[in-house]
Amino acid sequence: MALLPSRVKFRKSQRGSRKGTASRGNKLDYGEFGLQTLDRGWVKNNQIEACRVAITRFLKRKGRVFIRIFPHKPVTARPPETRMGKGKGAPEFWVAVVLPGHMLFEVSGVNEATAREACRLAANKLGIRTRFVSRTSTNA
Amino acid sequence: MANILELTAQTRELSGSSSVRRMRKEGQVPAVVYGSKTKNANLKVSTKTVTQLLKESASENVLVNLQIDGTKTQLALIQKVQHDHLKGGILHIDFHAVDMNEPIHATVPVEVVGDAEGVKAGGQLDLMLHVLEVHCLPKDLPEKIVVDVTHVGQAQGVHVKDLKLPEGVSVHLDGEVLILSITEPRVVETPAQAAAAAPKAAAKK
Repeated sequence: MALLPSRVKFRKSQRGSRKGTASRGNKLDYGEFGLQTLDRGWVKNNQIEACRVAITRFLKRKGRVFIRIFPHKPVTARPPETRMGKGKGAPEFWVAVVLPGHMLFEVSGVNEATAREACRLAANKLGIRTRFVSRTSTNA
Repeated sequence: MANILELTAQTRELSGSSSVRRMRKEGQVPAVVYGSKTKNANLKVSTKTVTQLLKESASENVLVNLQIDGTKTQLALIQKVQHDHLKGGILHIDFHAVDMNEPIHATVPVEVVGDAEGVKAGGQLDLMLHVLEVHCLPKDLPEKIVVDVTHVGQAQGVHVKDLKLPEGVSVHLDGEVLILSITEPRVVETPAQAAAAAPKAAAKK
């Protein structure tokens, strides 16, 4: 089941700004290894789920996975072949806004080679550039 | 006994974003030294030296003997290192001037050693606290806190009260705070369950 908010105050939102780099959520907080984004963009909730499945399947019940992003933002879409007007479209999916530096996923309890491969598989599910980080590389 | 490293620093007159940006390009890291008994001073240190120093140490909270302009010597704790979270370079360093006879607070990494019994039995080791804040005299500052997990079984953990801290070192956390735990393995499919599931899968086809 893909992530989505349980309750929201407003059903539809504007596109918002994606300027700057991540000032929070840019460090390894829970695991020993992580996947950090280098690009800015929207990550859909089904992409997050695909990454989670890719990592957990590769780890084969070992280790732990931490998802550091959440799709708070609703995105609307208009049905195809509709004329202009008649208001904003219906909410279609949810996205997480990510800025360069955001830690997307963290992994713990496995060795570096396993974590690196799991993160590589997860990165293939995303449309943004990412990099693998570890506590030793960041001296965190 | 804490390892005290030598580091040379120069006082700097310039401050402000454009000046420090130029300084970083020239291979210098802006820094500041402060303390209850010393006057604040803006400093600069060599990027190469400080990167090497941090690379060789277990954590970023290390004691250094600052030689300022080759005239003054000041014992200081590296209080904070600001990193560029994308490029990884060092942006700024805070040095906290300390007295050898006054206790300090510092964060020390936790290192897990040994093969736990619980892990051998299929459990999963979860490290909750990667760093610990310790309170001690500068001379007693440990490089890391070593936690031996050899005798930790499944569904057991190591709490703060179980730690064997070096003499003169205390931790400002409740004794019941969990540092690591070994959780039981998740439900593994047994051959009997697999056999029961097989006819259902065949029936679907």
